[in-house]
Amino acid sequence: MAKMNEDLESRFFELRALRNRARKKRAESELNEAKKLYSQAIDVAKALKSKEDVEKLEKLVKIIELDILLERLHSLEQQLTQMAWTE
Amino acid sequence: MEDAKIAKLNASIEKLETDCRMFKENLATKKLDREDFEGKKVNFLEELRKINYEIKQLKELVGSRNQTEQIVIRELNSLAEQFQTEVDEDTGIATVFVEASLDTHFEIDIDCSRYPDPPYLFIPKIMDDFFGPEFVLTLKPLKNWSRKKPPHLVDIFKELEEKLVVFFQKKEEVIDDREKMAKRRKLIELARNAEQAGNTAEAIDLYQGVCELSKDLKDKVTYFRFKKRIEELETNGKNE
Repeated sequence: MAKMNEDLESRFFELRALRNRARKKRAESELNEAKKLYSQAIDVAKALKSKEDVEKLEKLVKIIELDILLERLHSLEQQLTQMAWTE
Repeated sequence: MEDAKIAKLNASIEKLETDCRMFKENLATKKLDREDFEGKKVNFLEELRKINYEIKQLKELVGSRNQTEQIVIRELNSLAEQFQTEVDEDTGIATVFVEASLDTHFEIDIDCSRYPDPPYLFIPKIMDDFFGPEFVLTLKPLKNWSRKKPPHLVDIFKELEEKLVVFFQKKEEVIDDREKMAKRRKLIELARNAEQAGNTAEAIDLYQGVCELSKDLKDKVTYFRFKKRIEELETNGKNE
């Protein structure tokens, strides 16, 4: 029983640590790395059968996916704006 | 449903990226006349803005917050009014900077994502060494946490700060052990030489020895000073 609680506690710690690392990566604009870490956190949350955590993390992954799309659009916009006609 | 919308937006951007690449090539190889170029550029930018708008709309929808999440944000923002805090509203995690003395501060991450369960505090290793891992649990708001009526987060940090300030203000006599002090001086010198020679791992080992001795001597100022140096060296090592 004690061993089971220890395992559970260590999985929860892993989940919290992953979530925190992912948050920091996102703050540093390393969106792909953040997405990877959040996806790993989802796996841990699923193993813990924590539906609420899975839902919250999935929501974050979606927001990051949208941010990645916005980044790509921004880069396209910059390329287009810089394009000019020359004779 | 949201996943399908994201996939659709992704496909639209991929198409736009391909078309823009072609457009760029055609411009470079003079396959476009001026009128063509101007017209297509305007169309691309219009399409781009349309997709941008759709993404932002979807982001708003995905990011909508329930009542509990709104309470957490309120709590974290009120924490930010009293402490220097970096709040991440999407995750319910924040980094709080707690001043223990004029030259010692700690960065503590607080994870409130399971609110109204008690928050989890990531206590830096450097603090653990002096206070022990159970230290956080002695803080009254956490010790008496109630899910039905959770205390304010700011109260946790007020108490934490108070304890740290008292700890750092307490003028404890540093143990007068000449032998250990001499050994420590030697270690500091060697560590600095190792640092100058670029032997970071060796310098960290030596500074570790300085910290151990400082702990034995109950010299917390020197202890924290060199622990910080170790952290800096480790961070620089990771970034190189």
